[in-house]
Amino acid sequence: MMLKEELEREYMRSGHMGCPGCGVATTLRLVLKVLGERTIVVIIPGCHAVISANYPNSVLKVPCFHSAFEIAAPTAAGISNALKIRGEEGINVLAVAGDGGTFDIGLQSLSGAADRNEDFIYLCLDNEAYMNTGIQSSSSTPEKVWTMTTPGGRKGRKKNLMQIIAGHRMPYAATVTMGKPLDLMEKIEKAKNIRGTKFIHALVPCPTGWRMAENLSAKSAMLAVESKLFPLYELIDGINFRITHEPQGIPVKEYIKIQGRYRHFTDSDVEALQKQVDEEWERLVEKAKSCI
Amino acid sequence: MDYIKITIEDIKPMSPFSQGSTEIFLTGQWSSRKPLYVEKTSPCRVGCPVGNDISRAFYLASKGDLDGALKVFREENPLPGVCGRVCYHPCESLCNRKEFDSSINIRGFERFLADNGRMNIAEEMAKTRKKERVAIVGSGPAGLSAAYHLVRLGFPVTVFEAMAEPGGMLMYGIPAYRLPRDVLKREIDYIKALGVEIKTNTRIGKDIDLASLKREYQALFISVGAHKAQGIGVEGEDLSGVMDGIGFLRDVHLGKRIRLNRRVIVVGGGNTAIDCARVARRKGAKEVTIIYRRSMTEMPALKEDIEWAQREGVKIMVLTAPKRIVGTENKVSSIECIRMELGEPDGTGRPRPIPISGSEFVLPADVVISAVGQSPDLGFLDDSGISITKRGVIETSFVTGTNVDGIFAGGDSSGNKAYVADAIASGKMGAFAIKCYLEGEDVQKEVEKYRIMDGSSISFGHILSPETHKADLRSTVPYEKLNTLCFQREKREDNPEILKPYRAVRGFGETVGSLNREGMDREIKRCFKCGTCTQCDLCFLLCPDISIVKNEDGYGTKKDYCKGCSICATSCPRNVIEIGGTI
Amino acid sequence: MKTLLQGNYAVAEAVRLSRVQFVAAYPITPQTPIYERLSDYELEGKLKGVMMRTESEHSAMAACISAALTGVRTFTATASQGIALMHEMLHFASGNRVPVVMCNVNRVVAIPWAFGSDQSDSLSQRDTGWMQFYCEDAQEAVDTVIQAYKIAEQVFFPVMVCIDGFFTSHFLEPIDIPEQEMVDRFLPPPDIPNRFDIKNPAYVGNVVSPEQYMVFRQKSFEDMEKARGVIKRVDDEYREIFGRGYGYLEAVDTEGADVVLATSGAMTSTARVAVQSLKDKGYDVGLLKLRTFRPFPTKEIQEALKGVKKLAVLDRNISIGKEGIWCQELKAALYPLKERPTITNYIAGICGADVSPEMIEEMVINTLKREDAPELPVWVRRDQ
Repeated sequence: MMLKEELEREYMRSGHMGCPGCGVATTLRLVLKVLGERTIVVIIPGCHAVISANYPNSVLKVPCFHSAFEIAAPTAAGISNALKIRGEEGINVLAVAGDGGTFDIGLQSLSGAADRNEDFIYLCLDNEAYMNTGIQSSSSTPEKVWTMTTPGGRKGRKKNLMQIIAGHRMPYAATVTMGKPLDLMEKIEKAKNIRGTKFIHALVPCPTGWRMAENLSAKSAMLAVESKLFPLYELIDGINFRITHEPQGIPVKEYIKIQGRYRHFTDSDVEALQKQVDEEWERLVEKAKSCI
Repeated sequence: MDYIKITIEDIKPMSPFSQGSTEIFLTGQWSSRKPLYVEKTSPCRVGCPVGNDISRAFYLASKGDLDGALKVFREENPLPGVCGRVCYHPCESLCNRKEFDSSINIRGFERFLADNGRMNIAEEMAKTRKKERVAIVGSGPAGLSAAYHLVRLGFPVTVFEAMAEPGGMLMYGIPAYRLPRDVLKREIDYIKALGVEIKTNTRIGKDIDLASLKREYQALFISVGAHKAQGIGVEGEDLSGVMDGIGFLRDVHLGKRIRLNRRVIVVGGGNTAIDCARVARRKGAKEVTIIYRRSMTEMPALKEDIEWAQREGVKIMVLTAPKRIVGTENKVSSIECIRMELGEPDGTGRPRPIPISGSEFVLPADVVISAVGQSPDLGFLDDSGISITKRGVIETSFVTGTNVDGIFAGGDSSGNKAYVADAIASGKMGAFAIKCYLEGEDVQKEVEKYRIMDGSSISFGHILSPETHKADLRSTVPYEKLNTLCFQREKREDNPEILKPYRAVRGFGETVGSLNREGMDREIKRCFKCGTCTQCDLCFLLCPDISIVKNEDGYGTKKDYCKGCSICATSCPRNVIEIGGTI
Repeated sequence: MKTLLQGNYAVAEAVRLSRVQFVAAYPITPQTPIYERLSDYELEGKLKGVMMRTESEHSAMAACISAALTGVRTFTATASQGIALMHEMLHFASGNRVPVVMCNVNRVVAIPWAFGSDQSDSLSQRDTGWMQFYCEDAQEAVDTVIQAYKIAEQVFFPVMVCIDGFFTSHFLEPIDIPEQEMVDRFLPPPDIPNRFDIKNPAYVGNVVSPEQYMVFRQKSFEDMEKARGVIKRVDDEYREIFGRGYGYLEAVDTEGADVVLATSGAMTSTARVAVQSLKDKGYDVGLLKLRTFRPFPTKEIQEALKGVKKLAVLDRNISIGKEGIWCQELKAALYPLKERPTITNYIAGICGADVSPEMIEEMVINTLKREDAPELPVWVRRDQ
């Protein structure tokens, strides 16, 4: 249960330059509500860096550092170690990166930091493409989806990042989305109280890049969850899976039909995707079954 | 040597060190679309004849305020314990949750609240006391409801009741296994406690007359009910062993010695028929058969009561009509029936039953109970000038007014739907119409202010406590407008069976119990609370622009920053948020 | 008392003595022994703080930067491909104005793959905004590392201390390792402002406008100019306490000399032998040892080479398409002088190729013999 205070406190300010309906802004906002004022945020290039504001302003009420694209994790690790050296305890270090900064260019440095089990929370704001630079495909872009660099649809399936994360045996990893804000906040609360590297994979709707009406932003995230396309679960020590939300199991078509990036999908494309989603879900359920 | 100590102030000009606020950028100028919080009327409320603000009650209960939830029911209905047991719950048929998994056990909720919530009589008392006195004839659900609402509006009310106990059909018609009398008495006591005077054993036309009431009181509400049984209209109705249902139920309640022989036939398909059959089983009848001329689908009795009857051993023969009651030595020995088939819909919208010639057959019978309908006994109106319809009920307008100034009528005596909830609704409407009449207001116009959608009920919550009742009564929430992605499928909690049928028929104990706290909590959680802002915070949490602020009684918008994305409105589980402004 | 130590281990000693709190590193030849020795110190409890074994030099520098921003004393070491991979982070460090100290053990950059010394790896990082010091030997490396912290933490620029791969890094030399107590007297304990103070929150390093960008660049430029004074003061103080100082450069008998030989790094030791031999043979020859590359000691060079007719510049590096990097810088520094020497550039010793005193003597004599300096650098090496 979230405390009332945690729900109401605010570490992000209005007046940022995020697009209307921006999922990044909401997700970051929710995370910071839980982490509180004793938090240092590391961001890297991405939409969140645009939202964070230009000099001499800040969108955050907590310290923040704009690091480079591929080093969210080691930057956060540097800070958390420095805090330890300085004897400053109980400060959360949050590394924020997009899917480009996580699935692609920052994967190596994330792996390094996770391997050393550095003490910070890594938040991947996955909007499934390089949105800040104008919708280019990343290894998180779903198969056949349109982007500016995959005008004929992306070849190859979205990278299964959580499987990679699992290989690092991090003490805590979880999938979240703003569509289920309380689930998200509860997971951040857990992550906050665990020492070591915590990985949070957030599916973040992007009205601009998903070619979707801005009002559908949060709803698309809910649809992703309820269609089983983006299951919400926790992964403890890289081995124990726990599903945190039982999806309604609505057809995945409901999720993709509101997004222009899927517009060219034929019936058989939809069918194939539904099959993939169902199979992935079953695999997850199986994994979760055998866990404590 | 001099060592240059570098401080944070020295560093500030070295590399970007930003401490200003983005709030200098008024992003609200990007769009003129802004959210508006508009609470709406839930479909269950629209469906409720009494107009109970069900979703609001569920909301308060979900916050742990069971007393507040009961108060919400009591704002519209003085008899939640009664309705929580015997109502035909049309609310549940309109429940949006039905589209999602199954409807909410609303009746069970009302009962739970009535049985477990605490009432605050002092709080319900009228704040002002008016001088115009109102007389109510008949203390059935319509009369009690009118009395309750009038007294809450501040009018002194006297109820005249012919019988020894108040309650009308609730007391003398509905068997105790469906409505324990202590529940009824408790609720009547509350009405009395609010200041309603009930004069029992005072029959109009005998102990008092209408003319003197008219002289003594500034307004009159007639709700004498329909206690006169209609005959089956076949040969042999005068035989010994033929009884009318309503009289049978009344006699049982009064404790008259009733001996039922082996085989009982009940004619009819309404609640009275089912009650008679089930009471007959309790009074020793070994074989009870209901004959009904239409099919099971058309039976007006409640489905769950029909099922109970069947489980208690009552046989139901549908598409069967009585043709003749046969007797030997002036005593019923059998009933001749004829098979029916369904034709085109008749005036009531139900298919017309058509006899199949040559399909006659005979059922042996020791007792025949006729439960085909009741009508009001309106002899006392003879010289009043009050119009009576061809169907033999008092002619009233939509707002219960009769053709005579100052005289209003409701319940079964004015041809209401015959359900308790409808009677209560007409009492409510009567009370409001009388208030308007006494205060010289245009009742039609006033009713429209408080009318729930296009229905026959008005919201007394809006009348008596406008400060806490802000829901728009003229808009409701269709299922498609809900964001059901915020909900999870859950099993409906039904009221538990507390007596097995074989035990149930041995007495008059309640067969169905109240929900336990856990079950009730699950239903409270399950309810969508359509159109009611539950302060779930979803809009607040999802806003990318931190433009929704929490107030004491809900939410507000920071118009300087809201970019008009409308996530809040689209995501609202309960369709409380509308988007205003132009694109 | 002197200790016989490899240069890498000597650097590690200096890091320990500087009470470094945070080390992030990644192995690469010929730097690795520094990393290993620091790991030993960590295990032995001699290095108090955190030793982060990153998965790349890029991450090592990233972590050093963020740790330094948080207000701790940091160190890393690298070489060759490592510093090349770090390139982005080098800009990042100076732009963030962090007092990170790094030891770069000069090594050629592939391709071809090889391991010997070549200053190109660090000299090519010229414009990243780092201070760069080139050390002649391990003793100088020790002293420069300790000085580097005192300089960096007053001017808030990162400092790179360069030593020659294998020659300095791996040769055993008798080294005077200062007493901790004395180092403590010289170098105050870390007191670096934490830019992520939760009580005074700020957004560090965000996007600026074109004009603002120029303002920050200009500020850095001006601060680097001011840093010159700090470098000198720190070196003077060090000399006072430890009896050793190095200046921006070392000019030996340069004023008015017929010919001056300019060198840097480990090759200077060989050059000293060659110059002495030439003097013995009667030549009027001076030696200019270059130590600071950034900030570049233009004024000091102009002063040291006053009246010099000929200058031979020995570069263990090459800027393809131009010439040796030190040579370019010297030419630019001398250009404002009305009477400037003719300059001959010799490229030698790249990848640690042998440069004997005899070879250097020949270079100096050739320079003297020539009327005009050749347009292109002269490549000097033994046959394969």
